[in-house]
Amino acid sequence: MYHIDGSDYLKEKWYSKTISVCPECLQRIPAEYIEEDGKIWMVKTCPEHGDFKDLISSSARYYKWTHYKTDKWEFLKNGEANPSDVPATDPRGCPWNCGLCPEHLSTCALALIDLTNRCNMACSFCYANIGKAGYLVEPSLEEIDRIMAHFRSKPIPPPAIMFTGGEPTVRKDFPEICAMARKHGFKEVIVATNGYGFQRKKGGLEFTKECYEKGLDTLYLQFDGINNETYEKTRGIKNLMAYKERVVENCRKAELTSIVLVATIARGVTDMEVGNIIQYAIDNIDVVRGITFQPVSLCGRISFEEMQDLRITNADVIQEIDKQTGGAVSIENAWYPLSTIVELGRIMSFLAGVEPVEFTCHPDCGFSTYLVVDPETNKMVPIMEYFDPLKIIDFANQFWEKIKHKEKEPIKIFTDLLGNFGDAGKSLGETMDKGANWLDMQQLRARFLMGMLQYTKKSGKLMDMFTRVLLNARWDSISSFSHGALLISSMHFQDAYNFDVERAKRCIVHFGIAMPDGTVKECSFCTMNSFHRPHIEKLIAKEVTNKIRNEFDTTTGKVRGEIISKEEVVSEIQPNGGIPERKGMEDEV
Amino acid sequence: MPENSSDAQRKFRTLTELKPSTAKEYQDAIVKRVDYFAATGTSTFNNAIENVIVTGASLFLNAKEKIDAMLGDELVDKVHSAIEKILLLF
Repeated sequence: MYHIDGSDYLKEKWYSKTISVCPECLQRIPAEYIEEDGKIWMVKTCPEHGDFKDLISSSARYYKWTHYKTDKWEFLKNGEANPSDVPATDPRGCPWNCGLCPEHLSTCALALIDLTNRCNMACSFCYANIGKAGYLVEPSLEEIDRIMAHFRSKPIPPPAIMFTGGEPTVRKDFPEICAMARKHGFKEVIVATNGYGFQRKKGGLEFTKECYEKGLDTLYLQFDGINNETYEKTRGIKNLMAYKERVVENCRKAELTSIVLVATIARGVTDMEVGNIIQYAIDNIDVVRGITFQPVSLCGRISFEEMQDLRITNADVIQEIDKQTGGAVSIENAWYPLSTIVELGRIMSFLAGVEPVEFTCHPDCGFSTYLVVDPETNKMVPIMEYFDPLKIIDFANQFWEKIKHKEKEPIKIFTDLLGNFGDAGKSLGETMDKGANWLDMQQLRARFLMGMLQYTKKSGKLMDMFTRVLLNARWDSISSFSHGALLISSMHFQDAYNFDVERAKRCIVHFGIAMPDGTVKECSFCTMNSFHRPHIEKLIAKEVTNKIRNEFDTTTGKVRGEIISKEEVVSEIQPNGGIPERKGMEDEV
Repeated sequence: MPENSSDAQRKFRTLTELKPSTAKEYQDAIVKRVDYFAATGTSTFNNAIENVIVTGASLFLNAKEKIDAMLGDELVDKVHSAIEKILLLF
């Protein structure tokens, strides 16, 4: 496994401590990670509510690999610039001071905005449900603008923004919101969608084209498998596969060539679909860029036995992928924690003079791999076969250690020498220093490229693109590289049972919420969903008016002014986007 | 994989069934994306110097593959280690 087989490190039983919460009262309590039966467990005791035990990783071997460290580097990392937005006033500490507080250790890499809690589906496990909530959560354009400005004003702003919900495309102004994101300077504009706006038989293609033209880059498309039976179990709706295929087809026609398939993985429900999803992505490689598997998070109070039936970990998912791909994507060598590439990213952005992207999330949060097709054998292989990954990581970490001071202290020799000879001398010195810095940058690029190429094993078009990424980490190179490879990742969001404050502190996916007092609250993903959402939503809730109903009214057959047959509505769409029937609303504005 | 009757009717495929054209489709996807950016005129793909370096790196990689195969793993490790030391001299 990853060049560490046979080491004492793998043989030793795992033990570590952290801080978690009681799943009953949500108060902070100490927790321990222990190894039993080849698995990693979290055990904790609440003085009031007793003992709790939850599975963290079904493979102790793999867990230990993701916590492997040398004397030069480790997978657990901290961000470079994380100024807090609010003081830590709650004595309970993380996760109760979100905003962000001074305890947070990572910069936001992906900004999230919940555009609405309306949806055309009513999945039982989803937190965003206007029907259950009884109120509307939907920021205005002014509020969205305020949230975007907040994120882009950070010292290291997130390069990407994702619109979530509910179903974001039920909003009439969705294309306008995409344009707004582009205007704010987000490089990647993403929507997490079940495909609603894009799949419509009448108007879906035009909507897709409009979104693309206004700035939408990527669809995070809810995609639980390729079988209708699977969707019936997960979403309670029949014939959803045709709906999903219309999304893919309309994106293809609109040349929106970046879809990421997002699969919620539940044991015995969708875990048997992982191989099918990978195959579907490969077959549609002209428009599908990646797959994100998300082991389901567990909310509410459940017994230990029930939890063991449902709990599925990242390690389970990647073992299932191993099995269903016939070992082509193996748990033994294909997967690395997202934080692996932190130093690599820092070097490349420094050399290219672009905003860095900081993937300093906790190693337990997510793993990823790139799948590529070897042009010589036409076989799908992990990109690790193209590199010597550990050596590349090792080199990048050492290289960054040597050059990181240059980011803050560029060469100033000539300015210092000639600064005393008046304005002309100072100006000459500055010009000469600019030249010296440029030359220094070129020699650093050459060294870095040489260091990386020596651990590269194969040539070809993909590696040409990789060379370009190393040379000049501009978006066009990165995007083109990603079009020749399939990114597969597994992200396990936390719940109160497996919560670890060390993970929460390093979260890189942050919600932005426009608060009624004119401020923006920035909340990490898992703390928002596990702790803060009910309270925050009550503060920002809006009334469900008739105007809202008319914007998305499928019961009358009118959606965005277009006619859809009753049969189609019934088979695919939850009436009124989940808005409950209520008498006496006709006169509301 | 489950083998019960309803699952047996499902469409399961494995990665051994890749279409013969898959590798080409992957490469076409890159080329199409490169063309898309190049058409803007301001792309890194229009940079002559960078194009020359990329071609050079590609030739280097081709030669390196062959040299590595000739040297054998042990010697390759020693060469890499020596080069790394030089590259990290600051």
